[in-house]
Amino acid sequence: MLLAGAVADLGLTLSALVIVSGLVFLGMVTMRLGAIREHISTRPARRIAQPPDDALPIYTIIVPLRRERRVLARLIAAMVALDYPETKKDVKLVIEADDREMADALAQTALPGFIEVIVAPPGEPRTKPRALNVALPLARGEFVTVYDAEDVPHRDQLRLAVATFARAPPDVACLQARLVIDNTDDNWLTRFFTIEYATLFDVINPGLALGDLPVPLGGTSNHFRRPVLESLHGWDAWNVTEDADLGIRLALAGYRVFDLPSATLEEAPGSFRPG
Amino acid sequence: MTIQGQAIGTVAAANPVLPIEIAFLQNHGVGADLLRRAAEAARRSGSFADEALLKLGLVDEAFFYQALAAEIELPFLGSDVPVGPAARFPYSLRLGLAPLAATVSRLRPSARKSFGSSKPPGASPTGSRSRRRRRCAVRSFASTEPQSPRRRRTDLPMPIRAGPIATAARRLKSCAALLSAACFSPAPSPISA
Repeated sequence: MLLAGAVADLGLTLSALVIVSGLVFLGMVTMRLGAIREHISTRPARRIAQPPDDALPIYTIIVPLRRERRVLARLIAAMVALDYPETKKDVKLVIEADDREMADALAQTALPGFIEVIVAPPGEPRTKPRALNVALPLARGEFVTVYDAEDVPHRDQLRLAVATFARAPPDVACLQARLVIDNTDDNWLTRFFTIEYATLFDVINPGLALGDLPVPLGGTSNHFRRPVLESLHGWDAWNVTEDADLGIRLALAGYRVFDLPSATLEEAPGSFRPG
Repeated sequence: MTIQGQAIGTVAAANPVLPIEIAFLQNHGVGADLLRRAAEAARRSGSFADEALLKLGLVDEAFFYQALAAEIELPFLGSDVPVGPAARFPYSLRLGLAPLAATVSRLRPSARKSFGSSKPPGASPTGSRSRRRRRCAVRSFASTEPQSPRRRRTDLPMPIRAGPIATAARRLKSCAALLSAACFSPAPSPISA
């Protein structure tokens, strides 16, 4: 009798779980279908008037580095290639205090004058968002963006972001650029990454943005109005999905995220082994 | 501190040849052509000329601040800056002024002596340096360079929880003209804020 009751309860519980899971799945599919129906271009539909050099604000770029010696030269070349007055680029490379590899690599590298190195003090957690939070109080830019070490943003991305912010209402606190995998043909894993990124950054996120819905931000190439980012106290250092978390916190605070149709090339891992 | 742009802009307007924030480098061996290049880049981008000079890599940062310290007769502490316990992150960095440790007083005589020898020949455009020093009430400043402390920051005391002393010097540098002006003016120094 007791066993029969337990089985019946288990059956009810499983049924409830199936129904809830089905509703969640249906919601996600509906959201994706809705995003597909939106007309989302990969470039601005028409050329946006861009301010002249002397009207551009200082732009802060934060790049957390951890044992990224292999891509350092590429990163610096990408920062140099950004089409923005060098006097107004405020690039901050953040390294950990015990990362001798990066410290040595940076010491041996002739950095452009607009790039500075910040050493995060020892402490926990040793996460990317913590490194970002170390750099944020030192940011001088009206806008702040984040890149990963292997990122190569399109050269006009900062100018496009400034122009888009200028046209957007003040409650648009963030622009999410498109992350694009640039080593698609390496193997099957990088191809899957390409499919995943294209779906997320070219369809779903722009669709969510068009619908004024909360956008789970990507880990890089999100551009912020600095005062808003500071008012939200930056990133959650203890959160492994601090990017998506920040997107939700922006929405809860009443801010919107717009799509920035500008590509940032990223390198996908080609194996399951840590780099 | 809003004095930076106002003061430099006012003084620079009075000198159409070279902006005041970099003109002093001529006294330290930097060619006028290079300074004019920085001034032109700054004009085009709407920046300060010293920022253009450094960000374009036209002069070495350590040299710039060393020359500045010599110009305004402040000791230059180089990259080994003993920050005092009252320094706070990030406020000291944002303000550009950080209290130094007590040990700095022991550094001053040698530092001042070493920079005394780098004083350029010829009179200052604003008058006698010795007279300026006598009248100047701002005695407890020292200058440093931003980048090196940034790279070293882990040995800073905990109140500076992260980063660099860094922009301290940048702001101090921006105050240079005001510091000099304050030496001759009976009016209260505008940097008291």
